[in-house]
Amino acid sequence: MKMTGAQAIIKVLQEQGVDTVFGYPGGAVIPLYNALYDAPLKNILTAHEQGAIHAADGYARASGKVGVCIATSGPGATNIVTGLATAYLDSVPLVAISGQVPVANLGRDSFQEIDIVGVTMPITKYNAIVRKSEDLVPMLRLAFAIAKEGRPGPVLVDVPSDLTVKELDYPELEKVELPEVLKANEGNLEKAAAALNEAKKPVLMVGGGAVTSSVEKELMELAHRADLPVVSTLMGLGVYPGSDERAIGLTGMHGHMDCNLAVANADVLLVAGSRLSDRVTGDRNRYAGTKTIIHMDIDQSELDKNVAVTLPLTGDLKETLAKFLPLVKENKHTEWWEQIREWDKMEDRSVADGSRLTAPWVMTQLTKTFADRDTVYVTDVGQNQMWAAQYLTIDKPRHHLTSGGCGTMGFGLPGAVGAAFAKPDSQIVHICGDGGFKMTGMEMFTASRENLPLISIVINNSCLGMVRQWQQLFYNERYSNTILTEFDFVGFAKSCGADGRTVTTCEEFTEALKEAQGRTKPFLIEVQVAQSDLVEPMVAAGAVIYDFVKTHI
Amino acid sequence: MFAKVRVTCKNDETLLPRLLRVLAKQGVHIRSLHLDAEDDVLKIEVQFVEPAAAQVAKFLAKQMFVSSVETVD
Repeated sequence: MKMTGAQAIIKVLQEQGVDTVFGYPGGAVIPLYNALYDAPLKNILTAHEQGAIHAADGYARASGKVGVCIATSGPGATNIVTGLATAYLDSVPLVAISGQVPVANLGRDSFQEIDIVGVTMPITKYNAIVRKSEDLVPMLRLAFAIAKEGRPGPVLVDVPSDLTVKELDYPELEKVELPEVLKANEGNLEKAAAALNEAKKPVLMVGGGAVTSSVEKELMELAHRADLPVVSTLMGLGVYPGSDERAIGLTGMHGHMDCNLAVANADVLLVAGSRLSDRVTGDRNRYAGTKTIIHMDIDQSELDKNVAVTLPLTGDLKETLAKFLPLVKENKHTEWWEQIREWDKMEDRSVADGSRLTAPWVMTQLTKTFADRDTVYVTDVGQNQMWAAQYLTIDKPRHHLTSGGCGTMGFGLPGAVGAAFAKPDSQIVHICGDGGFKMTGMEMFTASRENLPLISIVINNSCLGMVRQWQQLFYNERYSNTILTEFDFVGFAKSCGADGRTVTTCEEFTEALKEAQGRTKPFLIEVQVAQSDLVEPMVAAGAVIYDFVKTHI
Repeated sequence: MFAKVRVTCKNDETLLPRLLRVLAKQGVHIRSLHLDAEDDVLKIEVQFVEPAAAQVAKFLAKQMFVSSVETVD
């Protein structure tokens, strides 16, 4: 069948089951947008290309499907770079289609020509420029296959504008062959099960890879059968239900005391789908100690990368756990649990007791209010992110979306827009700080125009809280460029066509949260909190994970 | 001490720079680089100053369209 390259792109998107794309038009993609004009696909026009890529990312994280973003050449393409990096470091499947100057103008520093393939090489799972019409459709099909197969990731396809105008013969759908994922070593599986069966102080750690592999049932069975305390990395929150009695919470730099102490004192640590990054391990040279570490991961390059592991198990977690579970025996660890409960008592959680308005208390109220509704929380980066991770109770995978690896401030709002399209029947709650909101806040206009009933919680402490926290603790209280001036968040939301309210007390927050529900437009709640509140517990960067910073000296 | 890896991969225009980026990200100091391209196959042999050759080989092997990576003594 003959059609233009632009029409062929639309057809491939349909073939791949895409019904929503996020993008922003520009010179090199005018033919593509011309084809989109009457295509049975929804293009969500964001305020900025960065908003489009984060929205595609939020869509992918919430749905498990491949998110699609379109940007024009030059600045349009460079504006999606942060979003690609965000998706790459969190293994999110995306296909980004960037426009490019015509083939004949390539390499001549033409208007809006940027070597975006060169720019994005280290932050994409794969990328390529299409140079011939006949390669366009196969390249796009390949991009979708690569983005979602094995360890997912973003793929960029750069398409010169003349190829979207030229006619081509649309090729028949062919299966794309990709390398097979390695299977777990059977010998290590048996050794790992034996180690876990004999453990006196075991801990199960769940990470983002467990979310990708949808192993929530397997993890529940494993934890209950072997009586395992379960800690989660930031990316793993929700894959093991936070309200389950065996879930003890977040581990890492801002992990709960019982979680970090349990990991540090464990005799066997079973890691399911985490790269054991520096934010999880602290001092990686003192992380393993004498414990046996069983590390399950789909990506063999993650094994032994950050921490030397005793028993590496490469492969898709679903398959690995299916083979591992029959080898695991029923067990009870009463004394170990008693010890963990003692550690839990060490942590001062009075900041969330409701005696004054604080971010941790807000998180507990969100959990309580939305306990009976399918709610997706999309957080930004910084203190708000850590308070959310510590104090929200997330019971399902893909219900806590955050930029974990890249730590991209400004991800939250556009990410929430994407999640709202992925889960139209769910409540979307966006949580951010005052600094992060200002980075991509214009997407409030997108959310309002699209009638998205998301609730945006802006934790306003009039500062860049996490940097300020480090300045307080490690830089002699020299608050360089972190104290922010007043901003009318509610007025801004209203100017975007949304609504909102500022709250300064717990009572006002409760009222505002009621007011925010059941709407057809976004509602912003500006929560004014004390600047001095710190995220606690905290382990200093590079310190051993049980060496908590003393913040009340 | 030097390590050497032999990479066989698809002769794709982005693969060589991608593999070199992988080495650069690991801070690998390249001592020699040889490559042969035959139709659709690219063979690259890199010698570098780096004790952790096994881990570097894993990072190279995970790139799309790399069909094999051998570490050579």
